Amino acid sequence: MLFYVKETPFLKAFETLDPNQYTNIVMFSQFGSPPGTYGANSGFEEWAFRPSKVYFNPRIPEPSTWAFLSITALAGFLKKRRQAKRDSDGVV
Amino acid sequence: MPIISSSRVVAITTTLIFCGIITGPIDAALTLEILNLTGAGPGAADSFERTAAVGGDFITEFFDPAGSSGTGTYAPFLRVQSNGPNGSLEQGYNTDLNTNYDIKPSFTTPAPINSVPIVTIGGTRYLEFSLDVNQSGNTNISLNQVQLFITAGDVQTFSLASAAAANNPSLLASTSIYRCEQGDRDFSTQYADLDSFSRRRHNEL
Repeated sequence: MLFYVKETPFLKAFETLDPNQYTNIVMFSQFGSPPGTYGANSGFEEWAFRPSKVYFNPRIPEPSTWAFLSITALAGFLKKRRQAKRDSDGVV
Repeated sequence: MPIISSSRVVAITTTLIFCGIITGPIDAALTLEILNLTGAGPGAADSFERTAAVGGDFITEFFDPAGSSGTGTYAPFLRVQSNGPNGSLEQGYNTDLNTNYDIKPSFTTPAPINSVPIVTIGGTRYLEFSLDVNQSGNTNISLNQVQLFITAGDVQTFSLASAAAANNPSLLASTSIYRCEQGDRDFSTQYADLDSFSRRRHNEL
């Protein structure tokens, strides 16, 4: 079985948790009866990670990083627009 | 590297039973929603989305174990097996503390949070966990509870006694992110023989 949990609550937690300190994920899992309907009385049950190209990254950019990226993107956009205007006006 | 051919794969007929919102232990009086997971791969017939008490929506999906792959493809972090006084109940959490509940230390280890795969389903990003079920004896097993915590390193102070209820264990010095358990929205599963999926090829999403 593949089991998927939304990334959103994890990212939200790291808005207040230091990713340098909170480095681990712990799973508690329970099978069998009681309280379940069917008992766990045979082989093992195992949780694992599959190989992936993308893994969870708890490092949320600092506000200053967001500001820098925003300014850079805005500057790039303005430059591109100015260049396009020059081209359309025939300015060399 | 040993290879297991698809011909060895036992034909799988899987049904997944989800209880609806319940307020107590499972019993025969509850109306169970029976989900047929006979088909494999992503899709409406074998992929189900529910909401947990903590952590919001989650999805479970049966996947096709047909084909083969070498060993070591998967990275196990939590293995439990009923072998003690708990009888047919088995539980545990991943840590280096080898004596917790019913874990098998060789395949149970602390997991860095940046080792959890991320997949995108329908434009939403999810953390992915794979479950290998080996209940070949009587073919059925109940999955009662899954909880996920973010911890500062390897936390070993997990305690049933510290919880408000016996079926609601807590992990000290941690942040609870996800909880699906008895008493809120429980999920109970039954499987046919799934053998050891950790050695098989899987369908990519």
